[in-house]
Amino acid sequence: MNEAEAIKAAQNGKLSAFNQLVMLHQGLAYNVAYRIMGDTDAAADATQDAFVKAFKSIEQYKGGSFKSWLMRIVTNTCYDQLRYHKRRPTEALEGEEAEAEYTPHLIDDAEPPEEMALRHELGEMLQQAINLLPPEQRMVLILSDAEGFSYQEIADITASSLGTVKSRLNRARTKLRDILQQQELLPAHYRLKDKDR
Amino acid sequence: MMKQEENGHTKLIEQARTLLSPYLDDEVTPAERELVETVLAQSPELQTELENLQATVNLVRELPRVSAPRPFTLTETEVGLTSVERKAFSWSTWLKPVMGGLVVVIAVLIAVAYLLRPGLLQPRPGLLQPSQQEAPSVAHAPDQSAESVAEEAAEAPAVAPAQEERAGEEEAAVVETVVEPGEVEKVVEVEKEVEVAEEPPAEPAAEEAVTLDTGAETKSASEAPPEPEVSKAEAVSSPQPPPTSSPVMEMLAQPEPVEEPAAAEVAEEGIAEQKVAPEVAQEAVVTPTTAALATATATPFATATPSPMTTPFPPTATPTEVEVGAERSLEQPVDDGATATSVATVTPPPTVLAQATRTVEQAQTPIAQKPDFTSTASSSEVQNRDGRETSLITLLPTGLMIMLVVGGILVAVLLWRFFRQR
Repeated sequence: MNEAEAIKAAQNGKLSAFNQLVMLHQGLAYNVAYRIMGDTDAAADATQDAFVKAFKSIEQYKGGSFKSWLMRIVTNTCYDQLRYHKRRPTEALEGEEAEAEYTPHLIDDAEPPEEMALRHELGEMLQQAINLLPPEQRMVLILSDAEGFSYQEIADITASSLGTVKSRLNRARTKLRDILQQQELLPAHYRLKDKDR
Repeated sequence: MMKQEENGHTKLIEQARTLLSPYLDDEVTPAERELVETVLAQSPELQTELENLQATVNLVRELPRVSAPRPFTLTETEVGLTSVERKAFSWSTWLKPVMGGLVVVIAVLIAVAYLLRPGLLQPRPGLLQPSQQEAPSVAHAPDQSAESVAEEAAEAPAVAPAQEERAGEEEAAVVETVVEPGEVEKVVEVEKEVEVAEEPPAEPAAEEAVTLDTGAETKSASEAPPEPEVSKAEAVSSPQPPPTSSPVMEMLAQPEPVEEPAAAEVAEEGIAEQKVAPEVAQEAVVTPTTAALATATATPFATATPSPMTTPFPPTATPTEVEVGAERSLEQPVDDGATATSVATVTPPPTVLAQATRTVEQAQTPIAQKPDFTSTASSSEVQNRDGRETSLITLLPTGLMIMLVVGGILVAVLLWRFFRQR
């Protein structure tokens, strides 16, 4: 059963067909959720909630890119949870806990241990910097640079205009660059050039 | 001048700076690209910014992917209610049965409407006498009240046209409601006495009954044709000679001596009955004897026979009909207990006449509804049943239309929902 058939079956209430779609897109959904949320548990919760919402509202899917439609639900769910945690801050979103749980989930086990450690460290630094971005800029940055969505796809996912996507992405990149420069979070050989130099 | 140039240069750099991100992604127009590249060529500072931005983007792009900690497939428990809800509203599980049920209901309604249509309660045209077929209808409208029909019939000329079934039904209903239980008992007693007195000469009496039956039928049909109540009332109140409009009526004008007292008693009974409907008695024009016969003929039919064919008899009954009636009356003697009991308002001689008339009528209208002579109560039931049928017939088109409209709306909603799901 291909994606289109699975979508049609899921729209007729067939849960097994929808679970095929889940298996197909859960990696992407979880990665986006993790980069936006910055926490494994919160990302898992957001991903699960997003799939439940997707199943409930799959009748509203009118065609087009199912991946984009699903990402819109995932990012909206993440955004809602971020706002919820912002009102009620918890320890779950603190960097240390996310850092501790992040490591076991790194892929590419064939990588040399030193490089893997360095990548883990770099990843942690970057994630901490990304967590400092406003949620709207964070989402656009992750979708564009981490997941490779085009500007138009991001505009569809975030339900915003192309110009808004451009400006948000520009501000997100610039701010992330500034964070990395000012806080010197990156390892020495990854550090950005000083513009005053 | 220099300040203006510096301001212009700064503006260009700022403009180019906002375009650095889309420039990296090649999401700029040729004009924007030219602008950025021009400024980059003039500004090492902007070049450094671009390099750092590119490095940042590369860092993010190189972020390691993380694997999902667990599968996120959904279970029935997680989406339990939703799943059940969706199954309940799916096309295959509920729309088809609902549509099927709707079709069945509509089919049943149409069948009921067909079975209860007014034409089915009426006799077939071919079985009616010519005078009945061609006779104008007094009560065409189903909702016309029986009283209005009675008034019209009372004002009608002596030789009145035959009426249609429905008018007869309604008239029968009126007469039935007029008779009270006490009076019925009296009449039954008188009836039994007369029957006992008449028993010895059984065969001649029966023949006379047949003869009189024909006369009485003709009389009742011709003199007070459609309205049994009217003829009854006429009989009671006036001793004037009856209008002899046909040869059969002349026969009735010379009744048998044996019959006379009984007829007189019936006339008295007619007086008793007149109390029930005194207003009609003012129009009395016939003698007690003929009136009693008319009552005997009209009342039992009106009481016991739901079929309207009983009352509207043609002015002249054909010999064949009379013969048939005579034969049947001989086959079914007068001392039939059920008949004696059931025809509560019938006087003794007319009971025989009534039965004979009834048989004639049965021969005439084979498809008419069989009357129930067992009791007045069952007669009421027949009447009530007729009343219900009449109201059903009247209300059926409206109900059917309502059902069809509701069904149409339901089908439209279901179809809309079905296509929306698709």
